[in-house]
Amino acid sequence: MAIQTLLIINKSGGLIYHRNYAGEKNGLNSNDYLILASTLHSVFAIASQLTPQAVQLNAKRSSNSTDNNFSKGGEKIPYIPYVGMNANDSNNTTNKLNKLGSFMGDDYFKESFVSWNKGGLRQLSTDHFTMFIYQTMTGMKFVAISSSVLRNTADPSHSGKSNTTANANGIQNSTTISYSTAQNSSSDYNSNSSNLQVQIADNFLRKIYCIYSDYVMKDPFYSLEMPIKSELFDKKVKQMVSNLE
Amino acid sequence: MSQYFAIIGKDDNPVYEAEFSGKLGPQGQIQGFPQDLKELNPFILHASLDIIEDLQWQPNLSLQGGAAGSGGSGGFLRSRNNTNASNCYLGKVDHFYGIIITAYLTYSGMKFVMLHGNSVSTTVQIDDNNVKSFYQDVHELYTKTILNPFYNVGDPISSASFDSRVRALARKYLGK
Amino acid sequence: MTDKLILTGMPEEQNVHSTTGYEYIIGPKQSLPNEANAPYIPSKIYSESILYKKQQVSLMSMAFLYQELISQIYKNSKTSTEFETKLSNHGSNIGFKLLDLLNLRASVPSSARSSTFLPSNASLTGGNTGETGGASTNTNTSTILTGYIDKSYESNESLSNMISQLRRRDLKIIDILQFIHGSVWSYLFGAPSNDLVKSSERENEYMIVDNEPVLTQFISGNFSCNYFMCGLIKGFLSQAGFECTVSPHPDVDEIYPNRVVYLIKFEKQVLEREALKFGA
Repeated sequence: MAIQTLLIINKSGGLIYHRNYAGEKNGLNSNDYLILASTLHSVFAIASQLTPQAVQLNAKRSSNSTDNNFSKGGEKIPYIPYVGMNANDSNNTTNKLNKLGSFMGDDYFKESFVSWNKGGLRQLSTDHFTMFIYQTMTGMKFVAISSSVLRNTADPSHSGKSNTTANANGIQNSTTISYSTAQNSSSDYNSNSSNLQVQIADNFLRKIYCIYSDYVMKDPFYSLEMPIKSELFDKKVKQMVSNLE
Repeated sequence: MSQYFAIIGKDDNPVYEAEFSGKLGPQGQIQGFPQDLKELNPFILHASLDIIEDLQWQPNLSLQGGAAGSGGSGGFLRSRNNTNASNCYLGKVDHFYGIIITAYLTYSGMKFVMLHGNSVSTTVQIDDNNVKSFYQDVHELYTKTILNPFYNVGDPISSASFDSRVRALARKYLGK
Repeated sequence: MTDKLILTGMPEEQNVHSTTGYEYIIGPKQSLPNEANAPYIPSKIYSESILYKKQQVSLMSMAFLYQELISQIYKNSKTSTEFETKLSNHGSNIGFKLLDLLNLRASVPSSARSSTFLPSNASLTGGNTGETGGASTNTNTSTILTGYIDKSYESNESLSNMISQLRRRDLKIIDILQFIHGSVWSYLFGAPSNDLVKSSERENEYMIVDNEPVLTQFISGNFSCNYFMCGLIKGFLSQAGFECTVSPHPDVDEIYPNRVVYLIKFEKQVLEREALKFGA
């Protein structure tokens, strides 16, 4: 799963960080990115209003059930070991110290976590790319655009069941939007590789959030809601993106 | 035997002073320094500061007793050639008409100085080990003082707790 | 009356009406024989032991505190020099305190191990290897501070009972720098600094190298933030009689993007004194 673009959107919809990791130019200038960010922000808000009643009820029911994958607070995302971590580095004991900033151990976190994204847009699949959105408790959004395309979600036998598909008729690309609460029971869902993809993306973006909490929030010269200029943050994120490939 | 003890700061300013006197005399008066000489104590003490500052940077304090001349404090058994020997306690640095002056330096260069005197002008005997222990304990108290966030290095130490503890130490080690 | 009003808020010195401390204006007080059995005036500061106990602070809270310190100073400074001086002064105050504390602690013999904390006969390899400074880190200085806790002494009030011989006052530049490199760094960051180097060009310059500075590791783009540690080193050295100026310099490479070199420039008189007392 190669990450092409990474965006960070603050809680009021402003773009505070964007990086393009794909080599070729995609014809978007920084202004386009700003527009894209605020559009995404709005779509996210609208999507949470649009979440079908059936899906909401379904989510409520699952959260009441004793299913392992769900808890009262929302959907639990399982921990996927060493997403975005350098496999060689984890064996290298000399370099281990201080490597993860204020995080101890060899990975940023090791537990499954509850998704804070309740009812908003979570994944957007097209024929050319897949977009993943991770929302934090404070309303910030970490957006990753991946080059991988989910073939099977376009497969009608699956899409009807596991995803709420918004087929854009007349447009060549078929677009799939999945809501975070649009989860069926896990047994049904395991067969779907997009689920794993989403989980990896959530793990990855959560780690970006961890890096953000160190290198942006602990920088005395950063003012909240403003564009991120930290070189160290840049470096760490880039490293993590390249590890993912 | 009575003592006049002072902590002298880096700018030769007094940071703490105290006078310890042994017991009551036959008439019930406090047996301390002679009244007429008492006023001179700070002067005598400050006069020895030059010697202390000279000793401060001596690689090995073999000069022990040299500056003091007679006085016969004795009992100095530590080997002066040993470069590992502690050089905080300077021992007897000076004397003034029967008053013996001992000194101690902290790591931060604060000078602990003490006059050992008598009500009569006879030379007093001091026990180096006791004096050294006294200084070490005061050094620890001083270290605790500077750990106090409201104390600035070089200010007079006005804490009553410090005072009471120093006096207790004086009774323990010097009150003989 | 006002005295009492103020004192009610200070439980530490409740009994102050009967006994007062030293007063600068009045001069020395005489100790009276009837005080002989007077109890200590209770005080948390003086009754707690200053013996080393292993304590850890969350890096995260430390980073936030440091961040707040920096932004406060930054807000209140007009020029970068002012910022650096202010930050450095904050560090110096800690250096002052550490000097006596760490030396006293180093005097406590480690009952568990036979080695002394920082042997003063430690070879000078740590400092004099100007160009080949890489491998000079003195290994035997590192572990002892962090490892030493003796339960039986914890309730003991006085440290000096345990000290048979105080650590020597450092008289030579190289000795006190070794102490900073080993003990001070171990106390602050849990490990000795990465290197201690003497400048090959100038007589009065020494360098302490920190590959991964703990305090400034999250701060990018403003190197002046390292002036806090500079101030700490400076305060420590100046208080011990080694007047100097300390400044941070970046020494960045691939592995250590944050590496800092603390350049210590001693004043002329320090070198003169050393030549006079220790000169060949």
